[in-house]
Amino acid sequence: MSRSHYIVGLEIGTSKICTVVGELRDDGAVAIIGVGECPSRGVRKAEIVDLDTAEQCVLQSAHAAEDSSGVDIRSVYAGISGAHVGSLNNRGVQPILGEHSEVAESDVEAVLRHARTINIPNQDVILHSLCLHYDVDGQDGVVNPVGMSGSRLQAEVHVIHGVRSRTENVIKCIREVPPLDVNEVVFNGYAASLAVLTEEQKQLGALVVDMGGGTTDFAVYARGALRHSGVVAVGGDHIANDISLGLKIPLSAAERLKVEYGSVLIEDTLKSQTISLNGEISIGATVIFKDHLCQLMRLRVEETLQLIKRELDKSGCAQLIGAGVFLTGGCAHVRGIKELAGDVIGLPVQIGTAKTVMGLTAALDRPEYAAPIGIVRFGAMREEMVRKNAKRGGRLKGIIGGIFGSMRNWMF
Amino acid sequence: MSLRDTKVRILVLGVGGAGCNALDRVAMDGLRPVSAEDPPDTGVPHLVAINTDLHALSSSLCGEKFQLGLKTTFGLGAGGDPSVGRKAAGEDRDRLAELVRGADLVFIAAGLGGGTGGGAGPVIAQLAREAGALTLGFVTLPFEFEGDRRREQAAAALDEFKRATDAVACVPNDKLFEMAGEQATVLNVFRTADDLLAEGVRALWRMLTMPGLINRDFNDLRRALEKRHDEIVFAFGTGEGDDKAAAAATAVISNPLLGGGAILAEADTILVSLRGGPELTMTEVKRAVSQISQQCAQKPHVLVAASIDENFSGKLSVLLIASRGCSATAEAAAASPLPSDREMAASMKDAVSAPSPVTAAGAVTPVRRPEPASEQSVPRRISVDVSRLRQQRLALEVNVKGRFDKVEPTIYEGEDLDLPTFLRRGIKIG
Repeated sequence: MSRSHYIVGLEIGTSKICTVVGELRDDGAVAIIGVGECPSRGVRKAEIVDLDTAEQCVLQSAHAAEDSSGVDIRSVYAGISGAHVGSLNNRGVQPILGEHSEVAESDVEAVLRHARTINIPNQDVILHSLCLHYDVDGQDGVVNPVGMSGSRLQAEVHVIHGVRSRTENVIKCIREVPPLDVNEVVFNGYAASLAVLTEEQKQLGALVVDMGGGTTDFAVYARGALRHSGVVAVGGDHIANDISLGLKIPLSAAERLKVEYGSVLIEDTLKSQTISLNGEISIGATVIFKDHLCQLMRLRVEETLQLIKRELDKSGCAQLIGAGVFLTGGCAHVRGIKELAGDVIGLPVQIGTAKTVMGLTAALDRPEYAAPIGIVRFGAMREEMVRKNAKRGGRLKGIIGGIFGSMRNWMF
Repeated sequence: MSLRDTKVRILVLGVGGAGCNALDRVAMDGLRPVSAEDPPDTGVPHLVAINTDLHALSSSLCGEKFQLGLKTTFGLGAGGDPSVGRKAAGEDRDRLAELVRGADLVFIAAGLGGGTGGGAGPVIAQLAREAGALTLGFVTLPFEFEGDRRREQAAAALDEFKRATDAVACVPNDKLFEMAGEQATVLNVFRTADDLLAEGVRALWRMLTMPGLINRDFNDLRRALEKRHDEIVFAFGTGEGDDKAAAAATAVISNPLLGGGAILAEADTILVSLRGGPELTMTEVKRAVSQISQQCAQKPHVLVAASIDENFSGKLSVLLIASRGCSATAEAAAASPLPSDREMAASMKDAVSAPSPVTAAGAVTPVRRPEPASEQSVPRRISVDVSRLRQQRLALEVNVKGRFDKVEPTIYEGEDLDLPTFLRRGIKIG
């Protein structure tokens, strides 16, 4: 089997740098065959602040994934997040000129180009532009307009954009580790939704909330298409930080308390419970009240979920979420977060795991792997399209270019 | 009945540096009566250059000049400050009112982002409308590289223009750059803007005064554009040869000012004015118009005018004015606290006569959509909390942001999310 059939996703996260190796089978299915992980350093709120340190972690993570899968890793799809990532919906219009007006591939390319180029600040770059639907002379919901008759073609697209320099830093960080190269970058929130949601759930409408170490990425699906996405730059690090400041204990102790004892449910039984930190902070035992810990955590998580709820309301799709909310990312492990999210957002909530791929169940069942697995899924979709395209002789070229907003024009 | 008989008074005003330059172009190319039989004063636009900068004004080619705000600026420019331009216009309010009196159609050309065009322009437009004229603005927006400050000023001025005029044709300079091409010289880019205005004025004037296959009179124009308080878009195209109708229509549709077709798709009224030689056929008119109106999604109200020019045989030029219906901006303008013209005028007067620089500066800030009261109150409460925390920090040397102390803050709707939630909400732990 040729090497191009292996697809690697690499996510430079705030708490971990994670490499996932997937195998693209001939029938188009994806199987996860290896995972590598390295605790992340040099990254804050999903953005690289220390390039050299982050490079070391990328190298370790990639090596671990090579050992785990037995595959030589050359090129990867890279995940990206951070406060600079945002999205908007836009409409492009293209007049179909000429006597026998028939939509040509060039028109589709042009309409998608129009839809993507408006309203984006100059320093930004488009990460994805996903076509929601086409409209030919008022006929809505057209999937493939090439060859249709009409005089006016419209396309509605969801554009995810990020700041160019920050996106380039992620690419640079990976390229500095030879022989790694970057095929394309993927927004983590979008990637997580690709891993977690089935086609049916996208049709029903779903909200994917990927709450990681430094950021909370979200994606809103309604009627089968991505309608809204973005980043709230608050994550698990903030929870630990709040604990550290609230209880006046070091960050490392706060991090440990969060994982071992933390919860966002405040129960009466907690009232009298205490945790003793022996000799960690000062000589002798420091006593921490459990309900203080949980209260601090609840305040932060509740607030973050409220912001997500606000983003959901902004999308105008709040009534169209039939499949409910899917929580992924490391914070999905926080005790009681499912119940709290249900209360705050007012929709049924489940912990999202990678349902759309096969392979190592140890990786698939963990919500913090949803984004990197989704990156592999994205790469698989991309390469599957290219393969189909080669078979059909280039007929779909324009559409693929539109759907996946190729980065090539600025990356090379 | 054509308006030749009723002597439409067309007034073309260039306000500020950019406006006067555009006016120069109109003056240079000349706007003369169609033929010698016409009385010389019939519907010939009256051009007036208006500027605060005496030096710039003296170099204008325009015959009639209007020095604005001598007492305010002492014959110098407004220095890029719209409040100065507004004050200058306020000073000469009576003279300006005299200038626009009796006019039927007033064009105001101005470059936004600066002081005189952006500040005085809307005041003059308001006066013209009060005088009963159909008032159209033709404005350019600064280049993106000119910076955020100018852009914000321009956005605020455009908003004022929209409210003060019946309709505004707005051309971002960046679009002109696109039209002129990468290699264009600075001169050429600005000339494109000036040409566009000159051509717009000329085409409208021609439509109202020249004999044609299909005549449109002033009332048609008025009905199409009056009280829109929104942007209109001008676009031109010319075609030659056997297939000139299709060529001209295609040229219009692909004009960059139409935003790749998006403008037409949203237009609810379009005005198509054609100019051709004596051999222009009805079929050609029909063809050109139907090709353009096909691009519209909203089943627009189409006004067609066609005029014959002896010197234009073998060619066809098309002027298109598209205006959007009730767009978001128009709704916002309608919902804004300045609904009636009278109130508007009063508030403007206040802004003009206000001596305090604070008030004047306040009037320049871009008009924002009114936010729900709750959202406004949140940052205010937070800011109080933060100031309280800062004091604590000084006293106790506590780093309130912990590990996020030195990283870029996460600001969400004015709130710094890196500060612990319990501190921002003022909740006491333990």
